[in-house]
Amino acid sequence: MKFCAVKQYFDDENNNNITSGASTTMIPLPNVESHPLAILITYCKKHLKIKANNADNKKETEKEMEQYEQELLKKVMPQELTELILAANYLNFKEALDFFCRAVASAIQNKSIEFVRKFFGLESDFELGEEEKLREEFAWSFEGVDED
Amino acid sequence: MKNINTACYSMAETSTSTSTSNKNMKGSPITNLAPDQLFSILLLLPIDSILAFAMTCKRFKALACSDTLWESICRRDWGPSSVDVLKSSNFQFQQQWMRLYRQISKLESVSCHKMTYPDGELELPKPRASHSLNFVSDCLVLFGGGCEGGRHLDDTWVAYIGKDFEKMLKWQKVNSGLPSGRFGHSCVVIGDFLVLFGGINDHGNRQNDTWLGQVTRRETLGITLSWTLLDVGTIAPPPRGAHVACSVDNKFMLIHGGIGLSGLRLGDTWVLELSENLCFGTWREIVTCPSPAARSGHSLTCIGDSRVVLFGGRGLGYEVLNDVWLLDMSEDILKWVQIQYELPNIPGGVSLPRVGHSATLILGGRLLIYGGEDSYRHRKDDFWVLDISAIPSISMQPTTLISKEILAKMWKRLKASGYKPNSRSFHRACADHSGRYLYVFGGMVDGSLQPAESSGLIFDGELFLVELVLQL
Repeated sequence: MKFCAVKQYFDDENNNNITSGASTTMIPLPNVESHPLAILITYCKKHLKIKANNADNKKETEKEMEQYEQELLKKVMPQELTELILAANYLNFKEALDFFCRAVASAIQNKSIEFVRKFFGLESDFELGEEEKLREEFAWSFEGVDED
Repeated sequence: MKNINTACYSMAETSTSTSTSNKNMKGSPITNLAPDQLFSILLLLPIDSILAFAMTCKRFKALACSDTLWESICRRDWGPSSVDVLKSSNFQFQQQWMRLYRQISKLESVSCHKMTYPDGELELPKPRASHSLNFVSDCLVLFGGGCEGGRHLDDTWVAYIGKDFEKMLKWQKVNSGLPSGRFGHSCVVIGDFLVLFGGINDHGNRQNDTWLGQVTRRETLGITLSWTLLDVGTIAPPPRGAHVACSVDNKFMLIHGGIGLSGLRLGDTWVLELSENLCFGTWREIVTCPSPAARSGHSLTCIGDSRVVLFGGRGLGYEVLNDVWLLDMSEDILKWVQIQYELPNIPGGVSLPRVGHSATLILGGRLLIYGGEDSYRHRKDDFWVLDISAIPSISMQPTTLISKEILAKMWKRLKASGYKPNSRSFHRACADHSGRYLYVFGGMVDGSLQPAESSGLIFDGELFLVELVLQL
């Protein structure tokens, strides 16, 4: 189900028996900015189009979606990913939410701490020596981390 | 921990409200994500990436180290049933899931305990080898095997274990005669049923019958076990003994190899699927190329996620093998994939070729390999952990050898403390509910050097417990 948060506005209109309701209703989306919203709408349209093209073939749909998703990721800035996740979550758009979460995960997988900080625009607020202690404490899990 | 979270949260909220109002400020949208959303992302990552994330800043350290997240990680990596068992058991780990995960990953040693029996005139199972030992319906079940004089046994023994670790055990003989006596048979657990297949009797006859066993516990009658012959129709694997079997996803039974009619070692793979009502079974052969060479006395274990691991055994040329093969039963086209590795790159690796060893799935999704005979016909008493998940990706054509670093994680020899059992082969081992304890029974141990003894073989009859040592 896509854009669940928005759909409920239309359901209310149908109950009031107004056919032109769709074009005149103002749907407030205070937490979604226009840029991520535009991307989500494009994503949704593309998904529906691909699904329609490959009516019965689920595997073909998956393959084409994957190709589209890879293309999309090349155009989206890493910083925009978190905006997209927030927007998709607010709009209750599960497929997009899952996709963007996976995108963030693969972007930061096996990367160094500094890379992850830069990616999210974070600054270290650890005290002097605290980070060193943490590195030691977590050393048991570190294998094959990229040097950024 | 909770206080830190709320403090960080309110800090985050004030910083983001200023960042949205002033785009030029270095506000990070990620701080707007709720913990649940961050958890969804973290659960897609390997452990080292989760901990790298934890080291970015204080807020994320608190988040990435939370027990809610680590319980989900344990579920993800060990399977939900292991986690449920741990939660309901008396195991004292204060629900510190991250610490438990770390201890399991860093497992370095096991501790052995000799089982004790209540006083009194209790009959105990005779010493034996190549029997079957399984944990089902909270009970330990022992069947058949070979004993002194090369004779077969046909007795079934049951001991109630319950949910917690106890060093005292009471064996009860529940059956005799059915199934017919045999050794080198296989027995696996599917749901609440035991599925037994094949074996050799003391006339040298190889069998290919399939039996279902079910344990029943009643207030007044105590424990009983009923065996029924399974109807499999006309298609069945050729008769054999000293083959291997494992249950996959609690639905299928997979078998491989063994010694067939006329004493020839086999290399075929078969899968048995049981009908819904368990009245009927269907066998079908899985033919793939390449596939593990013919062998006997090897091991086949399911490591979860429909994947099975085959290791070692004795091949056609009577040589002792150390190859590791993986089969993923969830794929559309089934194929055996060999995991190539070099022995010299493993400390102590020269002793790895094994036959008559046991390979049991323990908590953490790894295999505990114990005992067996090496290439020099020496019986062993060492414990090894085989970790398949240490190998990043089993590619389609695995011709590349594994690097030393990954090899160090793939094969690890454990230290053993506590009771020191005899070196043995063709013993049987099975884990309990929790995956933290292994029960080991029987096997052939080195005999005394009396010249009167024909082979110097001694069958062992002791039951001991192997405990994973977790420093919590």
